[in-house]
Amino acid sequence: MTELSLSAINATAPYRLRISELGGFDFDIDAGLTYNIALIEDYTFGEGFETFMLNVLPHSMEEYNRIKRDRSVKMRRDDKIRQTVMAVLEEAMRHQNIIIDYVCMSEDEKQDFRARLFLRWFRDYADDSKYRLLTTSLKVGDVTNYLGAFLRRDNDLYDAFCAAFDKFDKDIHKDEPWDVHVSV
Amino acid sequence: MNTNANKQSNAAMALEKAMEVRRVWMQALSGKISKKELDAKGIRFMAVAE
Repeated sequence: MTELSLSAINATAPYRLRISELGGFDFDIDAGLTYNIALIEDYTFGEGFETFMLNVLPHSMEEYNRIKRDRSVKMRRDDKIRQTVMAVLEEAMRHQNIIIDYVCMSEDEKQDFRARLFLRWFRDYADDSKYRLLTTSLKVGDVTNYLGAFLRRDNDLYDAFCAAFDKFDKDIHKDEPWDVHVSV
Repeated sequence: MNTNANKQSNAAMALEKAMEVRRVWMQALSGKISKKELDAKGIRFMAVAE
């Protein structure tokens, strides 16, 4: 069974993680918020892959918004969040066939920023000869949503997943512009 | 993210399902949904160990 080792993550993560009763890991950031990192089973690209959706979220969006208003500079510059997320991803990618996908949170309309940030993180941390990052975007109403997935190049299902992502990308744009209302 | 579109590709439906999972997960984090309800909705996580 694929599992994440808390002790391995805590050996490198600047914030100390603890196992959450709900799922994933919790950690407290310097700005006074509790965050959660969870890798949730996901079948967006098909059922044959070991895909997990990365979710990095504060427990309370209300508290997040309140603190962001009060201490925006400090929140924005908290590099320890990035390092903590990367420690979790590094541990997850130790497993050859794991695939991580993500959708940039758009609830506060900062998804463009998050998408760029994630690309930069990936470029800084990931060896391109070992990992592949696949990205796309989707316009929903007036909002552009950014999606991505990354996997090891030695993943047993590398070709199949890249083909599945490509098909997903083509299919999803057939529906554009989506006639939607956003309720997240 | 919900759509009103009548015709959707499998990709669109898969994406909607993923977004619904995240919506539920956000509710759980904020205490509006219990662990039991998460389990009942079939939300599963990568296993963790000490």
